[in-house]
Amino acid sequence: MELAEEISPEAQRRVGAVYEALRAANVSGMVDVTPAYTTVQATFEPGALTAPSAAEVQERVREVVAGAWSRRAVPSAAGHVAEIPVCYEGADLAPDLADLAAARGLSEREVIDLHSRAEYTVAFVGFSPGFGYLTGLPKALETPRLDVPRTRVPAGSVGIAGAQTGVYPHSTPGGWRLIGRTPITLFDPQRLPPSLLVIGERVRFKPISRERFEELASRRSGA
Amino acid sequence: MTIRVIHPGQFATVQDLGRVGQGALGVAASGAADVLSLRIGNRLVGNRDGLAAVEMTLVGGTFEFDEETEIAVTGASADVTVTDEEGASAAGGMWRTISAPARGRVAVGAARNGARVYLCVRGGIETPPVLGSRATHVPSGLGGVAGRPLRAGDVLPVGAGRAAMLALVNQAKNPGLVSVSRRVLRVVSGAHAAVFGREALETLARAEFEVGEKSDRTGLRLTGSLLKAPSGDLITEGMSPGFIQVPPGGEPIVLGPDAPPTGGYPVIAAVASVDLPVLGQLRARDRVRFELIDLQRARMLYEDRERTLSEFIARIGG
Repeated sequence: MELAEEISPEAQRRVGAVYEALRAANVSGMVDVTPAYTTVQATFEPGALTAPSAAEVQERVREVVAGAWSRRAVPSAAGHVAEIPVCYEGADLAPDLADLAAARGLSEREVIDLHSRAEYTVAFVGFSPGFGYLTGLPKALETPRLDVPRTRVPAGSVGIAGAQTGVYPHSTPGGWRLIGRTPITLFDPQRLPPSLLVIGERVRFKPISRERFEELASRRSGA
Repeated sequence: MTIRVIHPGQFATVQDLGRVGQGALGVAASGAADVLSLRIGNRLVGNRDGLAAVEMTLVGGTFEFDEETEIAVTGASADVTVTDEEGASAAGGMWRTISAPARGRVAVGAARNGARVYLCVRGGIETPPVLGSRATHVPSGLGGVAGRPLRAGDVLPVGAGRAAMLALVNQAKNPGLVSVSRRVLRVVSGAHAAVFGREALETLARAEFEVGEKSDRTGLRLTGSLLKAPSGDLITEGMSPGFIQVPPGGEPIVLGPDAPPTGGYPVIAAVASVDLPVLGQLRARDRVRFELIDLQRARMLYEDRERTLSEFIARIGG
């Protein structure tokens, strides 16, 4: 279902509220709920929406959504801000930093300051396990995706695409402009919860030195 | 007991019914590409529907069993050769319960039609479950054996199962064969059908498409006919296996079980649940067509198929 026409904080509140209400509601035949920027997708078992009992299911969904609508002012992760350490140094960890700074008429230092001083919100998690789409990027940093995506983006890479920023939890192909890398694990299926970032969570990036990056990275591989 | 992978064939993974319900974590459903063949194979060895099996792609592998047990090979047609400890070989056959001798080997040949062959074993494969499923999702490295395709030397633990009645499927009534041979996919209109306009929907229903070489468990890339994609960007939203996305170039992509749970291309139609197993058996250069049906019809077809499957399972004593 579409809850807003464009990406906005209000759209995020609606999506978060409807997502959480549907998750909690235990609707008959519903097997998954996937939130995104302006939509929430509910997945049902085959036939659940056309069977003779479907009217009840649809009524139940309407009820849950209507209930969530009236409560949407409540932020889901109030207070807590996740802090992600990022090393913004070097052509290996931050291959697009220099180009992005030049394209935006900023110094590299200014890009780092702008990126690490802003507070972001996880609009939703998608694309790959633990990949949070973060909103709240300062306008001055908005830059389109690369014309030719990389065939391999290293895990932990921090990137910018349009008005979004985010961290690649796994090594995958990708077209976001990479301005740094975090040594921490964003997604671990053995951990509870498995994803560091969840919908509605607030996030900050904390600049760290290359030494600190190596130290945290080696601690992770040794664990 | 355990199964040792002597040779995995072209591309083999551990799959079950998938990791459904984790879309909000960005986790793909994954699971068997042809769920119907997996379910029948499991029933032939006395298992529940959803136990994990080995899914092989195009060319099958060779597997060694440390204890005698019952197995079944289902899916696309391939030669199955059972070799005992002394080296005596015999044809094993498909869609039936066969006995794998202790320290013997089972070799599955190349698929002659279809793309995927399943090796099901009594008790199921018991690699560690991850987020509620043993399904392998190679792009994110989840499930199966270390989240990757099987390699020679891998040892797969097998669960304890009850002895299966030796069953041979009556081929004429085998619902699994449908998934291997069908080339017309029934679809329902998609979330963005309205913005595509009439012309694109008519093309979808009339044109013939060819499955492209770059197709895999993430998606089937169709070539041969173009659909006119609507202009303007779509805001990233939820996606499911079977959704037919149309990127700006106009060549449709049918999402497979490994597709990410969100995506940014508009969806013209979605393959009806009843035909999702068919997708898993399509191979490069296969020609396919689409038939547009409504949701009511999609449900009836699904219920009919489930009824046929139950009758079939009752006959094989599952």
